[in-house]
Amino acid sequence: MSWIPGFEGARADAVLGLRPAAAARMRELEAELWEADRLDPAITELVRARVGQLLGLPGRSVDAAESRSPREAAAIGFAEQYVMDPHGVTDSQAAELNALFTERELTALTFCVAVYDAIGRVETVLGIERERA
Amino acid sequence: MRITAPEGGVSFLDHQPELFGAFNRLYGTLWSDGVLDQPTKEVARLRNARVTGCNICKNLRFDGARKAGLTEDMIEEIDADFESGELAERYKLGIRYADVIIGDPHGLEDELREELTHEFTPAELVELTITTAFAMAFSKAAVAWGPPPNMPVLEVPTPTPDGSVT
Repeated sequence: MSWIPGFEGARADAVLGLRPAAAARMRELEAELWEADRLDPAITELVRARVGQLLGLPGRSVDAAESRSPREAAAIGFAEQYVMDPHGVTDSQAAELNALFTERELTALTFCVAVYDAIGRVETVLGIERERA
Repeated sequence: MRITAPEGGVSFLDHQPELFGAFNRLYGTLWSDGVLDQPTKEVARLRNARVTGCNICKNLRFDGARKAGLTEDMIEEIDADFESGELAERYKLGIRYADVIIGDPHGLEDELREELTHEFTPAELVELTITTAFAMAFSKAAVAWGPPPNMPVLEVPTPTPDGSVT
């Protein structure tokens, strides 16, 4: 629940709307993640869900038992390491990612993890976590 | 770096110019079209740089904060002993809040929440939160794909919505 004075219990859009231009730019940046010529949308969704799960956001989960393609597994592994401890990305992990993705895709993957890491923390600390399909 | 910049680019982020542009518009809006004073945002950004261990972010200085009075002596106090230092309480609050965002965003305690709402307006709090969270999240890119190069302290223009400084 939001703790911002005057906005206790308010929805995310109302709280973030206190800085309307920044909120709009944040939505635009998130939308860019889903444009064509970024990542496979299935991987984008997996990353979004896993980052949210790591941050304890409601409605986010990734089934650890489900079988994954090498690209999906590598993307999830990178997201986990990035969110929890980016210093722990090893040379071998980076080499594996470079073998599975183009540099353009890896850049999109990095944006994806970073944007959902940031948005997840904004929503959590402000108490405005959104459940999204 | 474990990812190279594309031909003609400065950073590997240039592999995705539309995404990089969208990020820069957000970051520039937060820094140059904001309601919160630049030194407070800069203190939170530099706190993240130290906690996250981003050498690039640690040595960058946004000139808007410098012009507004944030000195190197003050910046040196953004360390583990900041509570016993001479930083203004407003900046210490920014550091405590940054530590929560970076370390445990579920862990904002009532006492700190009350101090924050006493010191900052609602709009300032939202801006400080978004700025700190995005500074943190993108500083990790330099760490993850590093190792970041050693570089001297470098003052750069404060990001603007049409700029490219990260």
